[in-house]
Amino acid sequence: MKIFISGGCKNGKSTYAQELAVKQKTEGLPLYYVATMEPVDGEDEARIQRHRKEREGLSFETVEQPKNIMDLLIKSNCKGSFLIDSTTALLANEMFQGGIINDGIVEKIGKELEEVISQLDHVVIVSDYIFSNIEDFSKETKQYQRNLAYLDKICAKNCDVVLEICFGNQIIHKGGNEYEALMERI
Amino acid sequence: MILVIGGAYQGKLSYVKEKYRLEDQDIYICKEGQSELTTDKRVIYGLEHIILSQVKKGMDSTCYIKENIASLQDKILVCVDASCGIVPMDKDLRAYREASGRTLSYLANKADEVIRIFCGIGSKIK
Repeated sequence: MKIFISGGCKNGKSTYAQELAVKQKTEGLPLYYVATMEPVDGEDEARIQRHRKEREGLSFETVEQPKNIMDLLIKSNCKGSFLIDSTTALLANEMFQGGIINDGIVEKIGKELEEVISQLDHVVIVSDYIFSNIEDFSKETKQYQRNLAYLDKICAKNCDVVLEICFGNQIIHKGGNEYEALMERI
Repeated sequence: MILVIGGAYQGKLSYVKEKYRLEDQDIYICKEGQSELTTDKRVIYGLEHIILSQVKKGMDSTCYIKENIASLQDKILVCVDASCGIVPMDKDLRAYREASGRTLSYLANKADEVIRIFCGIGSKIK
């Protein structure tokens, strides 16, 4: 199943996404954690360490893919259960490369994500809901918000299930029956 | 009256056009700095601009909407939900944030239907 998850920060998206990816694992096939973050400071390092610790014992194989998400298809031969965390980092890495802003690159990322979703049978994609705020930002921040929303809408359209995580609770926006079926799996 | 809310860039307008089979000519787009509503179109998009400019002029947007509620009965109102973010430093924006919360709560109470858009998907919350 193809699942898209978004929601507010520290609401439990990553943890829940991990559980879903584990549930989608098929016997004999790998379980991939697709790491997208390029650490820029100690805060990022700490977040990476925390996520790593959470994944310990869950038999995830980590694939580093901070850019060019489609390369994942070649690396994995499209077999297994995948967790891509997150589109937020993917977009930032590609859009703000080398100190310049590449606004147009979002269309390339959108096409790649569409392809990834279509090629993988079991994938969970995590994003961040950063849109319910007063619009009092710089031009670059607005571009980034608009672009992330563009990617979110592509993911939501192409995934079977769309979930919003709200302080540890799940709001099902799409694919209720598919989601229930997955939950009934042991 | 139908109220459609959601965060920025969530696809509110596309949703309304598709769901209610409407064209651009059915949609009234509020402009930045505009503080009065005058329209005979089915959809009023960008209500946040009205609220913000009224706040900047020291007007009470909730009162204004209450006074004009009769003319909104057959409308589809589309507005950004800006109520969940951080409290802004700017005094006007702070007042706008609160005015928008109050005005949308009033409209949601009066509306026959309230729809929230999340990543392009609409959920009926009333």
